[in-house]
Amino acid sequence: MKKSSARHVLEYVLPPLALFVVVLLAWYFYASGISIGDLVIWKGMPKYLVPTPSAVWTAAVEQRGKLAMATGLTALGALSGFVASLVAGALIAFIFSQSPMIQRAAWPYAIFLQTVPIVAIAPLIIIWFGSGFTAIAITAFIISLFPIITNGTQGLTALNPQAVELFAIHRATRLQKLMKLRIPNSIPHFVTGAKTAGGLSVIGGIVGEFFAGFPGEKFGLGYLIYQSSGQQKIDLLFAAIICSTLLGLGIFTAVGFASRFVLRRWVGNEE
Amino acid sequence: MNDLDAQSLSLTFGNGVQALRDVSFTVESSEFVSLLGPSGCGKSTLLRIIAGLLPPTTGTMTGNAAAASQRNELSFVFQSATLLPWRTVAQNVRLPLELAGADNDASRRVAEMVELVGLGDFANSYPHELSGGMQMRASLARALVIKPRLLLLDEPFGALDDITRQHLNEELLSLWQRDKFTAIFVTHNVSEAVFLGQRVMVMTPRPGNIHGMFAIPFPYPRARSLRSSAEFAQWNGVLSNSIHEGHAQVGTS
Repeated sequence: MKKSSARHVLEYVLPPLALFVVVLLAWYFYASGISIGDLVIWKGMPKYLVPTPSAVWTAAVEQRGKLAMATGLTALGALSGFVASLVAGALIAFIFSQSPMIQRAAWPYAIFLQTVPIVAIAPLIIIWFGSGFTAIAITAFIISLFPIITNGTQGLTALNPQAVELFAIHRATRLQKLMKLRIPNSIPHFVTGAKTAGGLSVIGGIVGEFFAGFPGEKFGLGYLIYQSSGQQKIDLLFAAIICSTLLGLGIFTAVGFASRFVLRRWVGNEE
Repeated sequence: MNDLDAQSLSLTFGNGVQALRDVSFTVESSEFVSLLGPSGCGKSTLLRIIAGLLPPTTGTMTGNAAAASQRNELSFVFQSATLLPWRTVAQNVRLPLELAGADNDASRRVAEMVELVGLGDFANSYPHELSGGMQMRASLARALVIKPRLLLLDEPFGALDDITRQHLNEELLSLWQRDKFTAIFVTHNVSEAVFLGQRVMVMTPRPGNIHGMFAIPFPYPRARSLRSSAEFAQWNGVLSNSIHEGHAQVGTS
């Protein structure tokens, strides 16, 4: 099953890297223009609309303290919200699985979490909790919660009917069924939910921050994006967007690795 | 006293469909009975009533093995192996003992059962690492680890290829001769029913009923060569005819 690392690099690392270089070159020429001798094929874009990759790099290096602080704060906020949603989501899913009555009663409001546009309630969160870490964490929490609840509830309740009969025949207690069937059965579902929620938490964090209408001492990427677009600092805006993307990618990858570790034993679960 | 004495079992589902009507039969202690019938004739439903998983609408079940589940003397082998994917073979086999409150002897019995079904080298493997036949062996080991008085099998080998099915038939018989549990084996495969059972009960559908009862005279241990004998072919013919008759009587074909 394990491929040699050289071959792995060739098949999985090289292609995206090559595409990255192509995109970077295309961006560069799109921004700065193309000319052969005196012949201008493409005159490029104005600096205030599309900065060159090098300009973005320079801005990123100059403002590295600010970017690092913003990325760090957003990461911390998003991760806190994400972890809180894991805990709360698991708890809610557990309650739902134990009482169909409570599930029926609360389900419409759980769906509310999914359907309410996060940009619509973000200002409210800022008003209630102020901008910065708390706002990031709370919006990240709200947006991450739904996938954990739905996947978790499904994992705890969608059991193989024959496995349920097996436990009935051997007269399993309710607690035994929970510990030896429901919870292990739910793990892959929770992991699926966590993968979705991990990516969403970064979006939630940034959107939450976006509405922080006043600058504080400390701010995250959402505010930095808001601020740099207001000040027409297009190169810093680009740098902030790239940091947001990398952060999302980082969390998604981390959850992916964690899930692979957790799911080693569940590989054959698609029966 | 018989192990099972079923009297006039009927089952009507909530939607008005009658699954079983007036089913009566007896099973002696340590007997191996094949329950043969076409798909949808209610044989799996009947097995679930015997297991106590479904209450009959009317009728009674008495005998030494009735309500065996309540004394932890009943095991059930399902159509699919139904192994828990997060447990190894040994941990899966151990499950019924755990549910009953495993004693000190559990590990030895688990190891013995795993060895007995030929999975000694795979005790620590996960189900997805096993072939379908091996998964079914693990499922058998799990059923037998509690030393059941009554073993109910619901078309356990239906999804396997014919060669594997024949091997498992032979292994199941040797396990039965060793442990002498009472066995009811549901199948829609005529030659499997003949090869395994001391008796074959033929069921017909709509509503499910027992159409015929046949004592199969071949002595045990039954060897592989039995399948190529003329008498075996004759019995296959007799049972096939019985199934078709039953179908004709209820007006379907």
